[in-house]
Amino acid sequence: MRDTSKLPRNDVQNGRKVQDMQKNEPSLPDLTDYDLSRYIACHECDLLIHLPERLDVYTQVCCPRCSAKQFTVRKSPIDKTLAYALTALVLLSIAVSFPFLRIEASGIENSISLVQSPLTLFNEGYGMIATIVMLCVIALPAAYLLCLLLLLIPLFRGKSARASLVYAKLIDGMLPWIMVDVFVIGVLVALIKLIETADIILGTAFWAYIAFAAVFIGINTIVSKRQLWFWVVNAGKANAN
Amino acid sequence: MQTKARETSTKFAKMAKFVSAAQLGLSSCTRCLSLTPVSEQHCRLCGKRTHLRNKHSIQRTLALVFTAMLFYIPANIYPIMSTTLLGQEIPSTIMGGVLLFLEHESYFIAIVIFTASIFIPIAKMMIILWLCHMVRKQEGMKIHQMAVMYQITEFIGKWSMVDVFVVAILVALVQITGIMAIHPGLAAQAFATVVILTMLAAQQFDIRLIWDNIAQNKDSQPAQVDIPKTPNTVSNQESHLANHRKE
Repeated sequence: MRDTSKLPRNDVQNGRKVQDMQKNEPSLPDLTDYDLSRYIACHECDLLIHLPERLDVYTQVCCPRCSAKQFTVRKSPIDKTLAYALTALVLLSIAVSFPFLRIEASGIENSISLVQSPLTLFNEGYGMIATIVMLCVIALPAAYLLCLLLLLIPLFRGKSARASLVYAKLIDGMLPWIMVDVFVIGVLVALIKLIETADIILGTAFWAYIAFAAVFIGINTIVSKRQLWFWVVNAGKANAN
Repeated sequence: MQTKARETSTKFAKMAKFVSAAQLGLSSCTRCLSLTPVSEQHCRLCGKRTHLRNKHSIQRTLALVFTAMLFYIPANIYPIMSTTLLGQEIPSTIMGGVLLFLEHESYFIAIVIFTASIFIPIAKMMIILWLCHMVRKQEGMKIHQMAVMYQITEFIGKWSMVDVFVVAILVALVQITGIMAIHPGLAAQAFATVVILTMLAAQQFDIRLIWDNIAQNKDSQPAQVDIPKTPNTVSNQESHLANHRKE
């Protein structure tokens, strides 16, 4: 174990950038044996940041060099995320099982559910777009929420979580491809396009999906990349005990 | 003028005193963001292969962007959907849709569609090309500007998908037998491909490369900044880093 004071200290405290300019060391230490848990590297500029021993709740840590937001210390993030995730799953199941939109023109009407959009595309021979819609709008968000629940419930109950690494990898891989919010805007634009030519009735699933999107955005603000992997570290510690 | 020059030089001097994880031979995992000495082959937390910077970042990004540009041509030439109204088929391209709304004087929707399907994809591809060009050229880099540009491209990445979703909803909903029906067109697939490719390109681009330059490129620094001499292991890593940027 090496002397801690030898390491460069780009300290961050309470969201303000504090850097220790006096300790300009003549040599950089070899970090191979050093415990790295108190250090993070900025994901944008790769600056090594030393975290203080204790961080207060609601502290937002930013990079001292490029001011990229690193993470926010939250109050009971597990409880909140679990509550949001369960709500989102219920809303999503409502959105899938009830009629989404209904159109009426000249006495003829057509009602669709959320799953029908990719199905129709598939029947028209546009399997690729059907897959994209199915995955980005329904399947991946559902899988994401399930993985999140499976990862967090053991942590919530203070039990060991063996497969936490697998869940975290899945969650991390899925996240960029989830387009819940984009789909909501897409539906609204489609409605604006149609509103002059036909009567449109908004179904239960439509409102459920909008609520789902709002809750999902709430989850996304809490479950940042760092938060997710911080949970994995915690789960590992729980396993070791 | 002189004061300004002095200000910039002190700014650069301050910047260069920061130490990046890569200079110490620490790899920050792109998946889990945890630190692992690069001498260890795999990330300590998630087990991903350790690299100081994304491997062949610029090459991969450029390849993906150029492919996206190729797909953008059919996306604009072919109709994105065709409306069958009382037996008569009317195909409409992306630009055609915008023009239609302009004719109907619904400027707001025209602007939304124009931004989502024409402006954002082009801007995104241009920004990524510009970033790659700047990182390769390695001089006259406007680092903060580039960082902001990258954040913008990453954020707006998936929003171009709006147009594909609009088509998906319209196709499913507007199937009124005998009166009106909407069918998807080839351009929808091409456009979806463009969005996916540009998203992948933005993911491949390693933004940390632009910050490496401040520490490494002596020409762009007004003040001579001495990065402390490092022990063997670390200096190996530094040369590793330099090789990496030459690609």
